[in-house]
Amino acid sequence: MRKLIKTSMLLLLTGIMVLLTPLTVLADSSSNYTFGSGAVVYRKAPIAYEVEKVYHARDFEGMDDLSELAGMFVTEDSVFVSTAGAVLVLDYDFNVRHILSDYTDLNGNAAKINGPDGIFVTDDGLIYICEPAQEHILVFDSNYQLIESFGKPEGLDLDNRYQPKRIVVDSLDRMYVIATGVYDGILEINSDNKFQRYFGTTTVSISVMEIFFRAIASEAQLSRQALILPTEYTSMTINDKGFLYTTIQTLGVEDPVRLLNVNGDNIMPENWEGDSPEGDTSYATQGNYAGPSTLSYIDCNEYGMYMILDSKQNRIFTYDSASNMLFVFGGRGDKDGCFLNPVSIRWMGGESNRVIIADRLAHSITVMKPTNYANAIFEAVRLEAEGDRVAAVPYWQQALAMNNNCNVAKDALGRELYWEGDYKGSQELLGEILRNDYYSKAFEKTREGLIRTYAPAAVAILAVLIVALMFLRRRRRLKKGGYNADE
Amino acid sequence: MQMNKVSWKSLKDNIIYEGFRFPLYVISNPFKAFSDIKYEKKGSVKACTVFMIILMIVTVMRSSYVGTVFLTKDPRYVNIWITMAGVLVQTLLLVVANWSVTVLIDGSGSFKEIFMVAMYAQYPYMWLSGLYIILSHVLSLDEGALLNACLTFGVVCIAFYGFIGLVSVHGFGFFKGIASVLLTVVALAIIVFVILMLVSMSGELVSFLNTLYNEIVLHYF
Repeated sequence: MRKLIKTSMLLLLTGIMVLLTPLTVLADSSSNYTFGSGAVVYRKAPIAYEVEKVYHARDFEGMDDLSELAGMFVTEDSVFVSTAGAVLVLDYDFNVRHILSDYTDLNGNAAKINGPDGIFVTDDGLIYICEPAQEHILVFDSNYQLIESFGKPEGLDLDNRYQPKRIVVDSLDRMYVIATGVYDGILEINSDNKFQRYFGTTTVSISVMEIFFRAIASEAQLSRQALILPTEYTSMTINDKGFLYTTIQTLGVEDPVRLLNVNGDNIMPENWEGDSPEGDTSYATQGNYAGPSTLSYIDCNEYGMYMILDSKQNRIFTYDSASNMLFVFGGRGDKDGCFLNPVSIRWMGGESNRVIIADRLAHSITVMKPTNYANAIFEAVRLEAEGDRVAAVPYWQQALAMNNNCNVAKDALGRELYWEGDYKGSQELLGEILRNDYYSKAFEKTREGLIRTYAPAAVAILAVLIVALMFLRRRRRLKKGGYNADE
Repeated sequence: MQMNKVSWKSLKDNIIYEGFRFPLYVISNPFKAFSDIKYEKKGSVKACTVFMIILMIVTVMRSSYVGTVFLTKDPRYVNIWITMAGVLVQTLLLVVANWSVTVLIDGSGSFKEIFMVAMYAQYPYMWLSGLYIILSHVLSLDEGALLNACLTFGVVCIAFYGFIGLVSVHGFGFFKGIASVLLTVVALAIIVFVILMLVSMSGELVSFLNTLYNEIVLHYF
């Protein structure tokens, strides 16, 4: 008996050990993948973006090095890049237009650009440049002459230095500024540098367990624990309707990617599976790169797509306006198309949907262009955003032909088939991705069809059976009656 | 030949009685039936074990064979063994927790009787789960409330019959019955806590052995 118990304990322990062996779920870092439906599984997908060219300092005339790359901005015809001591202005073919480094300040003294970060260029051509270390935001006109220098805004109370990091200017010339060390939200500053309010304030959530442990922890333990602070916004961009796309570092925050309306409310939709965009949905819990995606940069395009940069796995996630993840590209590493420390990403305008990525550690700017697969999806999403669902169908079919796991394509095609009246086909596509709401609608229609075709026959057969039974019963009773009569 | 026929018939009668007649009797007269289980040795552990197996199978089927309309998880990624073990472990934990508590507060039910109470209490739930699977192929999402009602009713049945069964089997009054249920929950928490601790500690052991293995392999080979 004792031996039996011993053996069974041993077996149990072995079983537990086997179950505890860490399971790795992440797709390898450089390839594209999609999220599976109904269970968190990654499925490989075709490569979405390929490297067009990697630019180094030697490719830009007049640049000695590309150190301390930071924010970037893209207008209709130029690209603005922050580096250590200059803002590089390039055209779409990456020829140097201008190197903005020396300027005369408002007092007429010579000054140099120093450690610029976020850049924003308005439609009028005004260039806003954040200089966190200098604690001001510089405004240049389109001839690169300084016209304004905004220091710490009037009416803003800060415990520490004012370090503006990112800036966005809306159509009313209001500035939205993310400053390092400000945890209350985005600063909304009006055009004469008066602080208006905190915009899109983040809240912290503390679990009951955390409260409990903090209550019983000693001073020494508390001092070793991290402070509970609302996390800062890490980046933002504005779309043509004046809504702000923002990212927040993920740890402990529910919606790390937010779409803020004029009131500062989060109006980012959940996708049909009920998930909010957050980069990787499943990640390692131990190891060097454990934990959720660290979202550090965001850019949007004119048809509601946006991409976020995960500076933990160095990957870029692209979403459509309904928060469906479309594709992933990038990765950790030093081959072309992978990054060491990507700091900013921007879409270049125009039809080509090229992406530029600044890598701070590699001192390079990578230009990537979409593959046929990504182009099909881009075109389909663009047509759907313009309201032309039918025209988007062939592009979704192209994408599906290249990737049978393309859930967005199955979803779009399945719904389109439903509207066209092909309920069987719709069910087939939507059933594969477990899109229950539309599947159920299509199912109702097929069920109705089945009832329509078979109900008359069924009723007729039933009627015949009932009549036959009654007839048989009567005959039996008659027979019985007959016997009785005989007796 | 004749013998065979008789035993087959008695087996059939047995199955009908233990599998359907008696459980239905439990459902219709729970107080009487549960005291019959205790004092007149009615009901059978064999039948209850079969119910347990059916419950496990039905639970697996509910995740795999449910109509696509109500499917939430891709059945290809459902681990049937884990699902089945989950049901088994849940039931056994409940029974063990209840038994360990009631032993201390003078409940007169044995382990076997508590298990039988649990199984007869989940008898309606078991069939309702089957009904759930069948109906899910016919109903659409808007009519899904009916399905939820089906399962909820099953759970209410478990609570209702389970409580009556425990009270009759242990010879408790109403309030002592409530107290025993609450204590069972506490005992359950303790058991789960101990198991989790064991798991996490053995996890650390595994990672230690893993490190040791890596060190040796990298150093000497």
